[in-house]
Amino acid sequence: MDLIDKFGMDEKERNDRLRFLDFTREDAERLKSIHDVAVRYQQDVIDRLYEHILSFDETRQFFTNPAVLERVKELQKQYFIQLTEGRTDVAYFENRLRVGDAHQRIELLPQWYLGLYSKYVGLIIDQIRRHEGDAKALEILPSLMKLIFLDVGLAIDAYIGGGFIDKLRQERRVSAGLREELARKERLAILGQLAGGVGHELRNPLAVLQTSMYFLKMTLGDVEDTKVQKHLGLMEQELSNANEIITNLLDFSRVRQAERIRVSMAEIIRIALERQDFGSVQVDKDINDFNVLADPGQMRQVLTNIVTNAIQAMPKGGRLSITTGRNNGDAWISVADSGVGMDAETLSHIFQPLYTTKPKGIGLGLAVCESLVRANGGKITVTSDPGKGSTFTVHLAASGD
Amino acid sequence: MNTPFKILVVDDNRSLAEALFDVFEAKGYQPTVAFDGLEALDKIRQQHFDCVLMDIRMPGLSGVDAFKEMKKLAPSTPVILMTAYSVAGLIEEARSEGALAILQKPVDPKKIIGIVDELKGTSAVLIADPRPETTLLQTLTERGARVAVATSSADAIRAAASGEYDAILLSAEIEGLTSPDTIALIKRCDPKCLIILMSANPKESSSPYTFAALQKPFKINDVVSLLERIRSAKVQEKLGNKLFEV
Repeated sequence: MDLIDKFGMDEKERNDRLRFLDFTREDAERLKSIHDVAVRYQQDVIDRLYEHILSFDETRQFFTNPAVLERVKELQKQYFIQLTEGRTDVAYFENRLRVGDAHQRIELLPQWYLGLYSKYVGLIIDQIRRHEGDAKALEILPSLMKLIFLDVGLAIDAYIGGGFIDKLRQERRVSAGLREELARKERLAILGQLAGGVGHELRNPLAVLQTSMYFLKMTLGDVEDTKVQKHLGLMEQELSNANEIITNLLDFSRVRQAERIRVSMAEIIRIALERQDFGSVQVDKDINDFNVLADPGQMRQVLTNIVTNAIQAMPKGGRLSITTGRNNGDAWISVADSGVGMDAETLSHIFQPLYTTKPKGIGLGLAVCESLVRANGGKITVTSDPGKGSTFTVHLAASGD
Repeated sequence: MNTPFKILVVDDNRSLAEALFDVFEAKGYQPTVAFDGLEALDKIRQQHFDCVLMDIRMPGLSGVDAFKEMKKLAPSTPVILMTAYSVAGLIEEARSEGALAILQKPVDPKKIIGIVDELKGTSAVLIADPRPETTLLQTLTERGARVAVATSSADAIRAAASGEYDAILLSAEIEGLTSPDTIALIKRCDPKCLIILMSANPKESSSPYTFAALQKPFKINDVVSLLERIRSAKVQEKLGNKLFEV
């Protein structure tokens, strides 16, 4: 009586269930009264049951082997006859748990398995009406339903206890995650194509502007008209802004394959900080150097982007801390600022393309960072405290040396 | 007076070709424009250019295909390609075909001028030959090279040790040491110096240390080509990866 023990189906539990279903001695007697008819017509009932089972893909798939089908039909006959034996003892409970367990083991989805009970009721009542008349059918129907519901309850026990439900739950979680991920990728791909197309087309007119600008600066460079010089300066500045936006767009549209090599963290940081204008921001570095497996150019781009954001988050100056660390295979670089910080709402959108809180910029910087880090087999995390600052951490695979 | 430095600018975007024309002209170069690949090839058939600046994506003949044709007409002319697109295959192809540079549009004019200035820059050439040919001396000088002469292997090696020469044109009949020994010593004194072996015998031309060979008697075109190759090599040595930014 393994399953009885496993599911704690002791005498008290069994009696409680029967009492709750209001299954009485009379019900048992009524079911016994159709025992002879059941035995006589069992073949017919079972054949019709399997006709039904075999007409659905979801249930047919379990019967590719005809020998198995015949064996299962025999077991099914036993199950059917037991419904009319009027016994609800411990052996009956054990048997029902075992049947449920067998079905969850072959991973028949519960909705299909429980559906079979309904078909059973229909088939049995139909047989009784045909051979014993409507009155008999009506008389035994409540009793049959009680017993069938006892079986359904035990089937649910078996399914839950057997682990198949847990597995289903997990699969659904995973597939929901996958669907979301696919949808995200699709959105990004469309956006990327658009961004790439627009970006490339804009490069040609920009090339002309930039060249003409260069020519004007060359020929007007020593004109002593401050307004002329101011406008030349403005044009140059804005051209360089436009260029930067397009570069970001294009970076976003084509994250090229990461060429991961062994590279020193300190070196990546050094190069990323090289051309930054820190203004009144104080930089603290606590860098333990070790090698990571990453595309150096891409990582430099990621860090430059994060550091630029950090500086922009501290318009009145502040403190920028760059730290590195390593935990077995996981190496990380953290960039913390003492800037304006972000609320939870902002934080939840921060890596979404086109999301931005800045008056300037199109909101691709961090989306690019995220794609790049992902392309390098890493991940990027962020924590923030509104009014106190934010910390971005890039996790990468430490090189195995 | 040196020959003006001639640049062919090829772009189907007329505005860009013309803007670049004005910039080059203002910088003292002698630019010519072409608006597609076929026109560019026509221009190259008509005259010699010191450098070609060409867009990759053009209707009809692409820049890369035009570049391949150009190599048949003027094998040593340095070609700088520009592109607004990143077509990985084309770029790799252009690179392996020997383009001097491939730049991403919008190309910073400062950068192009930087490369072209470097190309135009005076190359210092040493002719190590007991009887230097006038054609050689004259052609190199006309094309803007600073030329000096050494008559013995000892002088040539001493000159190499000064590190001021981009290239040494070494005669196989140099006096003093044998030419292979001289080459080895020059290489040791100045590893960056390009060594060109001049000889009447084509069999003597190859050595792992030599950059090129020049066969006597010289044709002016050979000398011009050689100077172009020396210049390209110098630019590549100096600007390295900055030449391939796509």
